[in-house]
Amino acid sequence: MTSASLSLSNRISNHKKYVTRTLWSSIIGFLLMAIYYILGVAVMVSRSINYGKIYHQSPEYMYHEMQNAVTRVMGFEQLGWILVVGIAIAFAFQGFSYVFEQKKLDFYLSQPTTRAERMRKTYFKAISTFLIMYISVNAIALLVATCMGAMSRVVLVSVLIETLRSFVLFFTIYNITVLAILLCGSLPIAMLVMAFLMLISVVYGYVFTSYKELFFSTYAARGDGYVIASPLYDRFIIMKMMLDLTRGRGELYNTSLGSVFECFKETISYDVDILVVGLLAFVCVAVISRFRKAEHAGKAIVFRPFRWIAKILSCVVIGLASGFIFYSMNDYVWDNGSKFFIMMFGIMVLGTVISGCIIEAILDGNIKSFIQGKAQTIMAVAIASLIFVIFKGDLLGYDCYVPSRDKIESCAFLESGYEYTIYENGQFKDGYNMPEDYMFITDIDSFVELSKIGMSTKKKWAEYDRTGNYHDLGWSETIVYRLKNGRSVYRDICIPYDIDEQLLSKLIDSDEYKKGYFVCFHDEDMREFDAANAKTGTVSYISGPAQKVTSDIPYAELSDAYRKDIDKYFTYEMAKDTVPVGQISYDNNTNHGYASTTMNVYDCYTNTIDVLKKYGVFVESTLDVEQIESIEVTNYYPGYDLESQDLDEIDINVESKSITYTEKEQISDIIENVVSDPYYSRWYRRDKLVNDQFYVLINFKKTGESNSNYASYYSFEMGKVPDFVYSDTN
Amino acid sequence: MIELIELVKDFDDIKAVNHVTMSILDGEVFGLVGTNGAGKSTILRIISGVIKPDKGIVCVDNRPVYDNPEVKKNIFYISDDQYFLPNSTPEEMADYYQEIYDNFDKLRFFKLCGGFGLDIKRRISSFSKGMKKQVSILLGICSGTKYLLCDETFDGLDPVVRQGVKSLFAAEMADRGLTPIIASHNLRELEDICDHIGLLHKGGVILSEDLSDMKLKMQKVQCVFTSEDDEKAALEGIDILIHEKRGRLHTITMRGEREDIEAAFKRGNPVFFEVLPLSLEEIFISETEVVGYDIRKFILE
Repeated sequence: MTSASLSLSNRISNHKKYVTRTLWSSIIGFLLMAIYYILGVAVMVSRSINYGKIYHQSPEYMYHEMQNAVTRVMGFEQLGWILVVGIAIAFAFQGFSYVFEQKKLDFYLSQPTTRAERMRKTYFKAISTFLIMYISVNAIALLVATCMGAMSRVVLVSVLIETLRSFVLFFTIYNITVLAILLCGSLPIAMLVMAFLMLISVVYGYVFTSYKELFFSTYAARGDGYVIASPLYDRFIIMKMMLDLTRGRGELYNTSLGSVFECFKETISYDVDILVVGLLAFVCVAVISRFRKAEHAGKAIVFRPFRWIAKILSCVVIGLASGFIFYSMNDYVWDNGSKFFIMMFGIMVLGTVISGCIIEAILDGNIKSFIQGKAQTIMAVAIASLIFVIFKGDLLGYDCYVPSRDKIESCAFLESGYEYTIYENGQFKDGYNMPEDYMFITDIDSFVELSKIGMSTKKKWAEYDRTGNYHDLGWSETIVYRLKNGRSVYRDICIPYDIDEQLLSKLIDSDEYKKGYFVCFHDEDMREFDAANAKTGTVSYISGPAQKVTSDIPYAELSDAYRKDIDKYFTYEMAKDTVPVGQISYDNNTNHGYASTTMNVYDCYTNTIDVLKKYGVFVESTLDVEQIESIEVTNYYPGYDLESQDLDEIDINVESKSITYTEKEQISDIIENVVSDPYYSRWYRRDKLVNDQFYVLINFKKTGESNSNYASYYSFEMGKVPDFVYSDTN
Repeated sequence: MIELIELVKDFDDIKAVNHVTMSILDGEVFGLVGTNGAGKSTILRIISGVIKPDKGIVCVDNRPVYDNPEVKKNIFYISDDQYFLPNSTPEEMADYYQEIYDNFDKLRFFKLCGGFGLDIKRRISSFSKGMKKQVSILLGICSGTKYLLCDETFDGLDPVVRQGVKSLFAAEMADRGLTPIIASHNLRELEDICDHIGLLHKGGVILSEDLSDMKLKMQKVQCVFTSEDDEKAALEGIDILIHEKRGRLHTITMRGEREDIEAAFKRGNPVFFEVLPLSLEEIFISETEVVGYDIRKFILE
């Protein structure tokens, strides 16, 4: 009987034998997947049922919990992608490792097939086997979830999206591994090259970010730390984002299809990156496979140009990382002078050269080869040195880069002043990072003028820091330039205290600044929450000597009044030397969640004060000696006078000294010269108006409304520390 | 027919195959003989489509072989280091090849395995080196291909099996016109089985001829001359490959037809003259010595 007369069943049976014989990894992969998905779903859902029963959860809440248990195993937060990566790598090595051995090449390539057909068949077998495995295991797991009553449309959609995502990840990792295999002639080197291809961009991203942080004074750690072309990093970030989202938004975040698609939308750029890398790797595989020859088996890296590129890239990044590690280890020990940087440079060069030697020895499998490839090592040293010089000397002008004015669409100060927090039905709605979303300053000329000064002050400040001298030169601020092309440029700046006040006022007093800085302009969620839970909402007004609480003020009314005051009265001129008279604290605790926010009240905020008065919670801020039981004054630096001495001249290890005053006369002297501490605006000129050497704790007497002592923090105004305080605390 | 036309293959700086041109006719046993590193395995790999030549072309039945499945259906290559699927048995390998070669005869394979004492259910990895070779050869024979390329295939086979394989080859050649192409160092084996010999050295072909023609065109003579003048007269115009002299006894290997050589030697009136049978090994040594591959160099230098 010849094979020409083979029946279809015989052919299928033979194919099955071949698959089980060659793709052993599929059996292990299938088992692991079954354990993770099927058993995982069964265990997690059972656990949430038991938990729900023990804690008497409502049926609706328990149902959501059960759905979450399923999505935690199979949905966006799953860890199963690690299995997918492992299986993709195993399949690629299983399918293509024949290229490493001549006898296997003889066996396979002498058979009546074309190279392209062999590739196609191997690809098809790997992808189809993976899909069959993944889909069958997930289908069974979903069936288990359905039987346990933990299924819904939301769960199904998130699992389907995750299935698509897993396939894209498999495709990408498989292609990268195949590419590494085709570029190499031996298994260990292929594994190293695979790790190189998958991680090199992350390592470079991390090293460049570290160098930016190290050398650029105005570097702002937001926005531009994005690493591209690393599927492992992308997938890890997707999982991390989803876990953060789960924790941030509560356990019921995936309650609707809308929220599932919203989550997917947030991570789509990472998914696209994975797909693009996969397609690029696939194209590279198609091209490289044409040039790959049977006789390449046994060589380390089969194409010289790739060997050079891989070696140079590895040496450069290892050298740069060595320099950075040296810096990190010794930053706090040594003075960061030029000698320190010369040593760092030396370590970097040494790291580059040593890594070059090690790479050569590894690639040749011969320790004696360590001196080979000198040209590439020298090139790597040159590139690493160039990068070092570019960063150290800021040759690209990072620290003075300001986008061209005509390219800027809007700008913002990102330091947020106030925020609100709402936690409802397991979801957080933070009034956080408002300036990023709502501040659109269009007075570009003023902003650029100010930011230029801010950048140069920041550089000065960083220079002081490097030499170990602390100087408070101004307000630290993170800014963003939103460019017309959609890019955002972030920088850390320091607005000097001696800035042209008119310039600062122009920006701070603008509507655009106020609308972005103050959350009361975007507190619709708070208003809704308060309206829905009006009975539990409380407003307390704290003003130095006293605190009053009411549950009668509707949040919306308060917010409306506050908006009017901000619009009308808030200016830099007012905020820089005025201390708020008190602070409103709104809290609302319900069975389903809570909401809270605070608002500083200046004496000019008449609309707000009127509302407070209307509901009888306004308290005058004037301190009355009769209300005070004692005042504790602490001098942080006895023996020094910060008003006349520089901070650098002070021994920071000196022990602080505290004195408690109970005499009315002394109390009277003190309260005439203090300002309330906790509520000042960020634009308040503390440097000029407040003496930070002392802190003053005023203990008020018990009143009829309160059974416990009430205390409040104050500071002395600059130049107004009473003499007896100096003499007592020195 | 397999035609190799101006084949060139370099491995980095090494010329593995250097402008090789030869033809392998259908129905004959072709022996590839050569020094170590002469390029025998490389040529077999090129013929089987494993390696692509840098230059030149290999045509099997007038069609190029590289990446051509239709042509490769007629070729089965047994490399010197055989590979079997992991943990496979002869039976499973037969299943595998059945998928690949349309004319693979599984029943015949089982029968032959039984004849050679090979357990088809036993893992090949537990077989001895010789048994693995037997499995390869039987798989090759049962694949039903027209051409069977064997690289050092007879090494490691015991004499009985070797004889059995030779008989199988003979039967296959007679039954369906199998053309075995055998690369080997074992010249005695090739001498028994081959019809045509290709002699390789340093990637090039020294000669490619029918073994019988080769033997007819080269003679080995032992003789004794009375004087040097007689010796000169006898050897004048003769293409001498090797000339050894011990006392007055000359042993000379030379090219030429027997009749011509005898006529030439008559001119020198030798005291003693005898034409000795020439083995393939001697032809090999003679031919390679001419191109500088002299075993005495290894010993003396």
